[in-house]
Amino acid sequence: MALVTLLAALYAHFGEVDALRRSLAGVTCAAAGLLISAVVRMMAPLVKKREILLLLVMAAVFVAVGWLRLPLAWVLLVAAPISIAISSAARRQAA
Amino acid sequence: MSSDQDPLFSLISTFALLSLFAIGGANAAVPEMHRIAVDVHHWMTEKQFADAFAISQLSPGPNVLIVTLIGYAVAGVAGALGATLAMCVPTAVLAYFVSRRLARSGASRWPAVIRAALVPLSIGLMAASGLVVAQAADKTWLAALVTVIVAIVAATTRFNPLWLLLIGGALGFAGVI
Repeated sequence: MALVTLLAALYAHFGEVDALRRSLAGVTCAAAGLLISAVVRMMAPLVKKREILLLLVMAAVFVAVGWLRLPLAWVLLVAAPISIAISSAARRQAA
Repeated sequence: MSSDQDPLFSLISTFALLSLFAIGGANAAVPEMHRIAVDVHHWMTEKQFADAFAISQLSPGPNVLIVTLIGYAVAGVAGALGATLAMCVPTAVLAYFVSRRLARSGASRWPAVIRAALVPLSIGLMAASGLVVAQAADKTWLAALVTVIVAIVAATTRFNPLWLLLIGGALGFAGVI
């Protein structure tokens, strides 16, 4: 954490330097790609098991938070009970 | 100064609350952090937020470091420390009590149900993070192309993610993106 605070201080001083700005922008582009690849990897089991309802919950959370930029707390207070109900029903059916 | 105008106070209360909703870790909370830091409180510009995210991904250690960077931007060293503790302590306390309960619940079916229920939530949040970061970073078609290529390479190979970040940085430095 001390290291990152140092980085933050360095950024505060040198953040306006053009080469640094461009480099960080490049890193961010790549980091967005890494996030997307993590999503693809985590989705794979749900797709394989044809968990349509859970995939719909996932898509709804994505649209609400990523697209509509709704507050996280409200989205989860709605989505979590729905998701729990779906997984509970699925488990009862499997048993 | 009243307490709801004190940036350090609102920083700490914001992240303490956020930490309880950050299903899937700090990366899943990126859209909410962006909403709070850029849209609601105007603590940072879009560019500063994107830079903070980039630095937190490059740094060794947990992704929660983006919180440290936001805290520093708002209130210096005190902000960095306060925001980081606010993000870590409540969730650690919660995890402690939940795991104690789980240990006692024995053969109950609920732990497995809840674990399964959290998976789509955290993936949806992670996807939202991807969108928010991509929107902040990809201002040109070439930049968007780099994002897509990195996503494909990272999803299909075991190439070290740090190299992909550094290659992205080098492309940015060279002025390609």
